[in-house]
Amino acid sequence: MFHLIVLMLCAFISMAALADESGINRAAIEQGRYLFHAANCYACHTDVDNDGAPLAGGRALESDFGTFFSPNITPDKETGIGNWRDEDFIRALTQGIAPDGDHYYPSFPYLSYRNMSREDILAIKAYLFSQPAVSQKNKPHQLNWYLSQFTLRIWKIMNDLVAMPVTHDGSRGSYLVDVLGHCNECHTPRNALGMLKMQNRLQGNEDLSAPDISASKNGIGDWRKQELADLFRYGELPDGDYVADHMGEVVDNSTSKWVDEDLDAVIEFLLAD
Amino acid sequence: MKNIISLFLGLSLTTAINLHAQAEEYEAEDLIEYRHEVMEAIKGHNKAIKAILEGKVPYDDHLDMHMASLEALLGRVGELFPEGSDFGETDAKDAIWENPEKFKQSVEKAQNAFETFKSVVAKGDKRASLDAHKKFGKASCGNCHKSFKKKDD
Repeated sequence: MFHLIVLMLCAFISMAALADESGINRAAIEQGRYLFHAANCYACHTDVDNDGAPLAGGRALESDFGTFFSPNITPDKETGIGNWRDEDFIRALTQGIAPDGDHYYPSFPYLSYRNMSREDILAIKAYLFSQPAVSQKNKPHQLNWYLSQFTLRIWKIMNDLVAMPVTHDGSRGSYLVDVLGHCNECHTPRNALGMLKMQNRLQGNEDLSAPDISASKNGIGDWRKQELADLFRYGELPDGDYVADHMGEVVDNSTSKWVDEDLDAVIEFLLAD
Repeated sequence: MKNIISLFLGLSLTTAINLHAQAEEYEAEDLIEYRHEVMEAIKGHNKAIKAILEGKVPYDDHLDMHMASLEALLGRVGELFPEGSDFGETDAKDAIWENPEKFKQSVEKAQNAFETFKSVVAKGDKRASLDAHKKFGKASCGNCHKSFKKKDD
């Protein structure tokens, strides 16, 4: 009996340490902060070029299919995700479906995020909900005439039937590269319909000027571990140049924030892949 | 004081007009090629500094030369993007000309980062200098490329 009471007390103290007086789970928020950076949410959801508020969306993402505008993911209840329940957030990240039933275009990398653990998804949500709410309406996408919710749904069905899915091998390195970092979204080539050609995984996408980062001779097979570490930490390339544009943002907002163990795991995974 | 301000404003305006006139007098392709060569020179000095700090080459006495060259070149980077040199074979993004104030701040940040790096190098600790070099690269070249250079890699 005594042991049971001690055990219950310990459990109670642990719970109290995780949740403060307002019921906010600080541990989940901190975990979410790290995952939020690893998933590089900031870059797409902040209109940095126009000094936009953090995470309030409105950033233009240009593509062959038109211009996508990222949505507001601050906890504002009117214009952001403030009214989203846990299951809404999980469905958005794993199925690419909004709470109102609309489907997201694959410019939102849910095909990679779908392999994220439920715990990690909810930690990211906890972090987002700890951020300042910004009232800013979402801008409608400006897409080619043939794109609509109807054609998008057909595309999603075809993609599930035809395209090889983005998977991960269970290692930490793969989880960071294939899931959180969603590297395939830019570095894996796509077919004419915009579907990822996973049979050519990480072999580069010329349309996006994203280089081959597979472990082959054409990719990063000859890179030393230190060169990869300098790339992810500082954006430095082996030839003395520095990465530019989107990859510069990836380094700044995401890879440079990895803890050493994650950096090592990614390097090991990429060079062995 | 009023005269000094007038003189300063006058000189600034003259310099701006001269740079603009110069850009109009010369072929954009030549300006872009020159800019590319200067950037390659910056990269070359930066890489040479790294090789020395890593102890890969026996040219410690070259360090000051490369540092001075890099400092001089970084000090002139802002001049290399005149109006009319924003097309053709260039990796420069339109944001340079669309938002010149932001670009100016980014160049100044690079110059300040160099000053920090230089102060560490002056203490003569190679390991600390190498660490400072990595941070300098990210805060200078990396920072500018992030917003103002197209991906070519």
